[in-house]
This record gives sequence, structure tokens and C-alpha cells, in this order.
Amino acid sequence: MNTPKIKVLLVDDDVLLGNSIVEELNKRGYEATYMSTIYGVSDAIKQLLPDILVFDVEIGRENGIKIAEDLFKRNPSLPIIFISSHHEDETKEAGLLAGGVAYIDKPFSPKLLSAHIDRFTRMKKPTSERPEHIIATENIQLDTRNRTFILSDGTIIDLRPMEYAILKKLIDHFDEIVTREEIYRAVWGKDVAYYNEQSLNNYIRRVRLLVEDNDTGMALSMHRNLGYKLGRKQ
Amino acid sequence: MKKNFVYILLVVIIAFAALLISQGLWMRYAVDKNIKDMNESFQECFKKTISETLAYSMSKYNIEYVTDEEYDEVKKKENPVEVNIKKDSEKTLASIKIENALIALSIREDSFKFSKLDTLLTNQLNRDGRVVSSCITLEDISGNKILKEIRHDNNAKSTSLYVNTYIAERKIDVSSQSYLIKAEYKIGQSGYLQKLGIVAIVSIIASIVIVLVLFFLLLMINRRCDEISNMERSFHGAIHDLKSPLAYAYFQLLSLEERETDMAPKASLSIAADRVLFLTNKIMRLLKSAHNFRKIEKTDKKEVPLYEMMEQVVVEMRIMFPNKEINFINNIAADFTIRALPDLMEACLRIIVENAIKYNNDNPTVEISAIRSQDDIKITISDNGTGMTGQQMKNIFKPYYSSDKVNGSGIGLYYAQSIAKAHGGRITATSAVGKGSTFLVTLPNSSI
Repeated sequence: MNTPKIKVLLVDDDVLLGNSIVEELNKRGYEATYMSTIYGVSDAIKQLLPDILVFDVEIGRENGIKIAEDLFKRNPSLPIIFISSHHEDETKEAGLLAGGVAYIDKPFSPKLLSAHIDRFTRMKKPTSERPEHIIATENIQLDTRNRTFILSDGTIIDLRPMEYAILKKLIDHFDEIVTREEIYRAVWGKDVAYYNEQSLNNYIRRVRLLVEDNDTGMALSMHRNLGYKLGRKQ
Repeated sequence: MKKNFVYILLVVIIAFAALLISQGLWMRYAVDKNIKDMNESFQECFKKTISETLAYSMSKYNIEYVTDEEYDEVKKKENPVEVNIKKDSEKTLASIKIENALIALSIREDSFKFSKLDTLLTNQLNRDGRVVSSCITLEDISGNKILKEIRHDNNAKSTSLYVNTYIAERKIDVSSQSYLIKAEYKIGQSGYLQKLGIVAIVSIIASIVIVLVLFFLLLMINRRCDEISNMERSFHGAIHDLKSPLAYAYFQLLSLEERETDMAPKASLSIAADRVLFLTNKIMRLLKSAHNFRKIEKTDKKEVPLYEMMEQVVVEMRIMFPNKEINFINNIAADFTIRALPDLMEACLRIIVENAIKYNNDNPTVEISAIRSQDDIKITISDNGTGMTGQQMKNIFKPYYSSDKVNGSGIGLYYAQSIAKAHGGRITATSAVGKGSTFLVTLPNSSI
């Protein structure tokens, strides 16, 4: 199957990070272009026709949000993802009001960014079919390619490998009891040498918080001597 | 600050206006007083001068007419016959009557020298001021006509700033006739006004200098304030700049981790990324602590299981302090929950636990317990660490204070206290040097 590559335009004044993001995205099968300044972004959009724009909110001294607003007005169909080290809620709100589809806090992992890119370029295309790499249960989704967790409101949460393995296992066996043994096999595979009771507990707790703190309508229940079950909230 | 400047300017203008008004009132009062004084002395002078003029004209007839002052001299040399009138008032009246009669006589004989009167008066008055113009008239009241008029314009050219007109009269009633001698003098007193003006100007200049000095000080303070806020801004900027290499490191570590298939390096990369994230959060905390928390809305609070939260914190601590063998005693009941903002409350408790472990030996014991009472929730975190002196205890919750000059940022407990306060609670501490410290986090029992 020869699907066209997703074209990403990244604008960020941090050259080191910008280059490594582009390199990483290209490795993952995107066609990413990097610009370190906002000058000429408009022209670049016209030339490259990117599917998505990833934009640092504070490029140099310019206020990225203002510029993004302008870009958005000119290209209303272009989704804009903000990335920024400003974690203030006001900045985030302003960014989203300016027409951004998502706001990612720095630092972020490569897969969190690609999960966002996948999600918002997919939304743009009229196919309502769910792509193969998304598993959905109830109102949550698991992005198996980028190993992230997607909530019903569209928020994408990054998962550590262990958390992903556990969550995948639990979602695959939704509403069924999964034994501890099965979970730890899912996490460590045959590498029993790394098995650690304490850290398994720790990861399970993190998964529980993830599921229960985000209004997913689900709960991770513990069944003594049997295992764990991911099911609807009672 | 801009608005403040406007207020200060307004106050200065008002104060200045008040000063000018009071100066004006004072000057007016002084001028009035001066005119009154001058008038009195003019009247006195007029009376005296008439007597002197009379004495001058009497000498023509070889009659020795002396004024009161000269009389004592005369008395010593000659031996005049004194007529004693007992009552003082009558005495004056009598002497005036005699004088009037003599004046009337000399007027009739045309020996009363009005020009002499004018000269004498002018000479006298020129001592205190400067006679600008003078006018002496002799009027026959019964006949209602002016018999004589002497007019002088001394300095018509030079205009004096401060000129006043003084009028003095002498009515002379003799049985058949009545005369009126009237003197109208315009006297300029530039010297007096000069003195007044100098005093006023000096005081105004002094107040202007004071105002300028105040403004200068204000400007200095303002500049200093700007400098401080600039420093703060660049400090924030510098901290902010720390985040971008961290963002790069985090991105790269996780990209490597994802590709790594070998469990051991994968786990190391994962931990490294965690550490970078932890550091970023710490920087965020530093940045945030500069802003005060607003009160946390009730709706934002969540039910947080405290036991698990503390376990999580200790897991992080074990990673943070790999060389320390942490003995953690968690006495909290498994189902104990508090209503709080999970991230902030965890940060708050983490700071206290981190301090308990940091300022301790390599085998720290940290004990934590929680009690719910009718009104509040008390979370106690005690350690067997180095403890604090009374002086340290006083300052630990202040921003940028740290007893540890090497490792401490001085922001931790201040931040923790801000979080507790934003939740409607507070943190208190008790400590003994060498024995350890106990921190008590009191939160309102919002389950009621």
C-alpha cells in the first residue's frame, strides 16, 4: 500500500531540538520540514502544503500565538499543534483559542508528538473509519503505533513502555480478569530477570490513576488472588 | 507606578498651592499691618510737624513756642510760669486749644509756612520710605473754599511698586472761623516690599528644592524598582532557558529508549528521562513559586488517596537518593483520602519528605501519619534528621531562605506552604537539633 506521507512543518527557534524532532519524524515515515524562524512561514505553507503545522509558541521574541492566529485565519483547514515550555494555563487557553488543535508541553517524547500528528491529520481527512493502529474500548482509545492513550475529549496522554504494555493487556481483555502473571509477562516478556514485585505494583498503580483520574468512566479493580480487571465504573 | 506618579504630582501641586496661598495671606497681613503702622506714624508725624511749623512762625514774633519734647530743655535754662491743669485730658485739650488759636492767628497773618510744613513732613517721612507726591491744603470750612494748596511731585518718573496714600487732617476751630489743614501724602516703600518679597521667594525656592529632592529620591526608588524587576525577569529568563536543553535531552532519551530492545539499557534510559522530567518540573516549580497561588476552587479538588500518594513519593525519593537506605513508615490508613489538587498536594508533601531525607544521615527514617478530626486533617511527617535551630525555624517558610547554602534553593518549603495555604490549610514545624524535625500539615476537613 502506497499511502502518501504526512507532511509536517515544524517551526521552533531551538535549532538542536528542532533538528532532532525533524530527524525523528522522518525516521517514523513523515515528511517533516524544519524552520527556525517565523519569517517565511506563510510562503513555506503555500509551497509545501503541509498537512499539519507544529509551532513553538515563543519563537524568539515574537508572540507565537498572535502569529498563529494570523496563519490560522489564512489557512483555516491547517491544523496547528502548539509546543511550548510555557505551562501556564492562560497561554494554553490563548493558544487553543487562536486556532490550535492541541497544546503539548515541553519536554515531550517523540511518540507523543507523532500521536498528536496522527490524530489531527486523521481528523482532517473525511474517512470516519478508525485506522488499524487504534484500539478502542468504551470511550477510550489506545494508539498502538505511538503507544499513547487517547481520552474521549481528544487529550493524548503519553505512556511509558510498561504502562502501555499493561494497559494494552487490560484493554485486550476488557471486562475480564487478568492475572498478575499475565501482566508481568506482558511487561517483561521472557526477561524474568528484571521482574520486580515493587515496580509491577507501581506500574499498576500508575495505570489505575491514568484510567480513574481522567473521567474515562472505567475502573481498574483488584480481585484478591486472581488478578486485575478493567471494567466500567460501578 | 505610573498612576502613583500622577497621585504624587497631584499632592505636590496641592501642597504647593497651599504654600502659595499661605504665603499670599501672610504677605497681605503683613502689608495691612504695615499700612496701619505707617498711618499711625504719619498721623503722629503730622501733628508734630504742625507744632514745629508753628514754633517756626512764632519765632518771628519773638514768641518762644516749644513742643513737648523741647519743653524739658527750656525748663532747665529758664524759669517759665507753669499753669497747672490737673486732669491730663484737660491739659492736652488746653494745649491743643492754645495751639489751635496760635495756628489760626498765624494763618490769618499769613505767617504759617505751609511750605515749611511740607518740607519738614517730607524730610521726616523720607526716613521710612519715599514720598512720591504730597499735597497740603488749607480749607476754610465756614467759607467752604480752599485758601491754599501746596502740591509736590517728587519722583514722578520713577514708579514705585508699593505706594500708599496717607491722609491726615487738623481741624482748627476758633470762635469765628474754622480751618482744616489737610495733608495727603503718597509714600512708596520699595524697601519694605523688597524684604517681604525676598522672604517669600526664599521660602518658595526652599520648598521647590525640597520637592525636587523628593522627586529625585522617588526617581531613584523607581529606578531601583525597575532594576529589581529587570533582575527578576532575567532570572526568570535564565531559569526558563534551562528548560530548553532539558526538552532536547528528554526527547532524545525517549527516542533512544523506544528503539532499545535490551531491557537493561531501556530501563536506564527510562529512568534518565524520568530524572530529566523531574528536573523540568522542579524548574517549573521555581518559576511558579514567584506567583502567589490563588485560592483553589472547590470544584478543582479531587479525592486523593493519601497512602498511595506517599508511596509514590517515596518511590521517587529512592530514585533521587540512591545512596540512602530510606526507612519509610507509612502509618496512613489505606482508605484515607483528602480533597486536594493532586499534583500540587503531592508536590507539597514531596518537598517535606525530600527535606526529611536530604538533611539526614544515610539511613533516614521518615514516619508519616494522618488523623482526621471534626474540623481538620492533620498530616504529620517526622524524621530523625539534623533538625533545625530556632533561628532556622523562623525563616524556613520564607522565600529564598535556605540554611543549606549549597544544595537548597530556598524555595521548597515556601512553595509547600503556599500550596497548603491555597488549600485553606497551613504547615507548621517543630524541631530539635540533632534529633530531627516534625512537620505538621493541617488541612480543612472538607468532607463535612
